[in-house]
Amino acid sequence: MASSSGNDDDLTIPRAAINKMIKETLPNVRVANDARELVVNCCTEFIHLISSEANEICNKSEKKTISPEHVINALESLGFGSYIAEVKDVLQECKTVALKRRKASSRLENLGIPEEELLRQQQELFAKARQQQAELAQQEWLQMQQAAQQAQLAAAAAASASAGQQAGSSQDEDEEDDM
Amino acid sequence: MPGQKRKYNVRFPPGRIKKIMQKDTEVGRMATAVPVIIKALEMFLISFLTKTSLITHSKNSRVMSVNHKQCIESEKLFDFLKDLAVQACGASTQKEVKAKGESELVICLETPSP
Repeated sequence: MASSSGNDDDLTIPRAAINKMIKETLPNVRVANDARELVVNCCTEFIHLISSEANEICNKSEKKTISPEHVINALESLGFGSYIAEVKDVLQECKTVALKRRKASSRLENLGIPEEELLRQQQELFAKARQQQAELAQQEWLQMQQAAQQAQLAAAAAASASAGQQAGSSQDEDEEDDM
Repeated sequence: MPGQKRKYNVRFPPGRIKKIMQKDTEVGRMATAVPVIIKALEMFLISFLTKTSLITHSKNSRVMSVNHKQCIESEKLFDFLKDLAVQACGASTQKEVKAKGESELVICLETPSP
């Protein structure tokens, strides 16, 4: 692809999202490519339609920011009133989520501990954890060493036991050589 | 128990939608309104696709094509899509494209090009 972000004039909903939507809505229907393209453009058109209507309503209400209420009124006036019920549900969900988030952050503030202190505590905890890990690693290392040593000893013992038998027979020869 | 609780996995990108909305220089600020629009868009798509698929069915075709968008003509609600449909129809067939109104979409047949 030549351009990274594309022209502003070609803003559309991503094709993949539309394809997925088609698949979920009409699972058993095959849809021609040009039809999909048309659906993509219909989406953009719909967004423009609702936005501009909502914008007008917003202007009339002397407010500067388009609110969800304006959008809902726009839907009504454009004949999409049947969508309003579910749209309101979504709105409620959003409000609940936003409320929770606000509560969560204020709960944190109300702990009374300033941020620097929290940071310091965090660093402490990290240092502790690192130390514990280091100690654990060392222990494991020691254990491994011990195990290795024992294995060596056992091997040596076994080796010398068998070597001892051999040495018994070869020792006579050696004595002869030495003497 | 709710009868038809469909949970869609598709989520439209709010940032992209906001950009589309603000391409219209008249449109000012809107923050919390975007999720509402997304929901409305979703519902619109479902309604539109479903209605169109009925036409596809009635034509005994297994593939939905631009021709089936005649539902745009039949529903007043979809009037705003008329221009788009005309354009799309014009792009897919190379013959007899004159803006003559309703009959045009119905006539828009996929004749094999020589």
